[in-house]
Amino acid sequence: MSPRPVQTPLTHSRTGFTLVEMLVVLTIVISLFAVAASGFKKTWQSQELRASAIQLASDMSLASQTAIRLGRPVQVRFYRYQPVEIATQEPRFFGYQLLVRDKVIGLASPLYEMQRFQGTTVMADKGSFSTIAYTKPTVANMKLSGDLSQLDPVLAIGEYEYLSIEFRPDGRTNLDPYTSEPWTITLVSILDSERLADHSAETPVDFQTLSIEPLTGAVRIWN
Amino acid sequence: MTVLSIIMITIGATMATMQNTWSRTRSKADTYRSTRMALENMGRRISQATLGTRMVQDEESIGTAGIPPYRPESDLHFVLGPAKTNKGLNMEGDVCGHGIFFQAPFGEPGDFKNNTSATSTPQNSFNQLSNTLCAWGYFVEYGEDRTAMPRFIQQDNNSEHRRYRFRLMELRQPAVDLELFKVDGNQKPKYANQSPPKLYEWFLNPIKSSERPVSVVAENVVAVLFSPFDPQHNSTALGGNNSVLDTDAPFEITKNGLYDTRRALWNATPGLNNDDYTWESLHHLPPGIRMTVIATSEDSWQRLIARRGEGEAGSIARSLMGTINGRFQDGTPNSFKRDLKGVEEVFFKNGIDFRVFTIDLRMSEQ
Repeated sequence: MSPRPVQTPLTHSRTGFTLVEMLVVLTIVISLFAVAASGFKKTWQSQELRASAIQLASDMSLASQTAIRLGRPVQVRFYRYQPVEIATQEPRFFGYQLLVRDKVIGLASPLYEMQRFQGTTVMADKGSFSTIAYTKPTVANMKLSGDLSQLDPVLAIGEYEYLSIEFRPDGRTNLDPYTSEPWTITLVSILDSERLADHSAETPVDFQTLSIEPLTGAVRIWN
Repeated sequence: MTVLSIIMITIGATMATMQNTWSRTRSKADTYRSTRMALENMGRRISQATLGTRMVQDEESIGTAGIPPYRPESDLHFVLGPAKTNKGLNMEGDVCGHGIFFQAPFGEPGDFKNNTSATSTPQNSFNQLSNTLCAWGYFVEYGEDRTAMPRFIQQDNNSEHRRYRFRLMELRQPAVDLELFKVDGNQKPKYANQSPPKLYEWFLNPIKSSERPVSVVAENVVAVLFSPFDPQHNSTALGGNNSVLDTDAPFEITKNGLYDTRRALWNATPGLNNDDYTWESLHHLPPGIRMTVIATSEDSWQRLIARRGEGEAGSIARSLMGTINGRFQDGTPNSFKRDLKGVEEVFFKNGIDFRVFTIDLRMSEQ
């Protein structure tokens, strides 16, 4: 006859978690969320960059087509200013606007209101990344303007500068077609923009570069 | 906990699928939109082609019955046809489909800084010449495009930036560089009495040069095919219907797919029967051109690389080139449809998305 098993307190079934177990699980869950959130933020910024580049390419094509259709030059102006809501050390290119220029009197009137790049996206203002930032007066016409009547209300809060590309009725642009480098506009996140130095060997962590064909106004996206 | 995990995984997978589908559709739409725009831009340029043909008295034929006393003359040249074949344009490199080369008044004077004969005149005064004659051309090439690549990307050794693709290329020869008007060692026009391949050097040499005046018009254009047609010529074959410009009209006015406005000068025995267009094409542009563009999407090409690897994608590209270059040398609709079907099979076999665009052009000089 075999002996009956004796129940001891250690073999009692438990119905709850200990505090230590709860803490371990919570730590794991929080760590997972933190990793996921950081990845999500990167993906989100990358999507914002991509969306901004596609929108800009599309608007530049629109500028080219409008110039041909109306028989009047259309400018794409990239505005450099310091918005109130984003604390940056210096003004950045946060947006652009399409304007139709009158051939005779030379005044430009906006086609639409200013388009802001999405999220923290800005145009890199170093010439090695955005070659339109090279200050050749016939190409990138950078100047201070006091003509507030043409502005979006966002810009009217202070001083601003702009670079412009002009699409002409014959399909060409005002950019010099005989330069050694292609004409480019590079979109990066604002953090990258502050980090990058001109002619540095570094490339931005994430970027979208638009190259513009001076003779046809055709735009391509590189990344 | 298990149920929650399953729900989370299901939601995650659904969202990933949705995002993939959305980005794929967006990429496809972007690619085909840029192809359509390139097609329109190319069509606009080609329809402005000019030959400036004049009729001159032909001393030899005066008084000869049946031969008109005047003959056409032109200093310019228009040619289209298969890019790779010996009987076509005989271009070097990985070219695909057809090519077209011509002159037109695009008003692009060129870079006079490198031209010693023009240094005394300021660049701006040349820029005022809005109708200067230029040589232009289009062809499709497979390879890596480093010329248009932004400098900082070129310096980055990351191989992700190296993209081997089919691209629609545009040759631009501004007025100052017009090769066609150059003279030889005896001060005689270099290309006046030449036959191919020497005759085609006015566009072949610049394309071969190290700093070639060529730029990309659109990416992922696999082939562009030109089928010149003449409604009047077709009407004879169709029983005198002069309004024919319909899609099924036979538009074979080429030989081996080649339409060369100087063929009658270099072809030793041009045919004289009604079906032969050699004499009619002498210094005359074709009245119409049907342009067919075969394009794929960037997303589809990337998926092919991910699935098969860069090396095999290159092999597939070469197989496509071989298939296309071996066809489309007869302009009749039936053979064109048959050839196109053969190309479509290669796309289907390799699971590559593609689209075929067609546009009919009327040449403005006609």
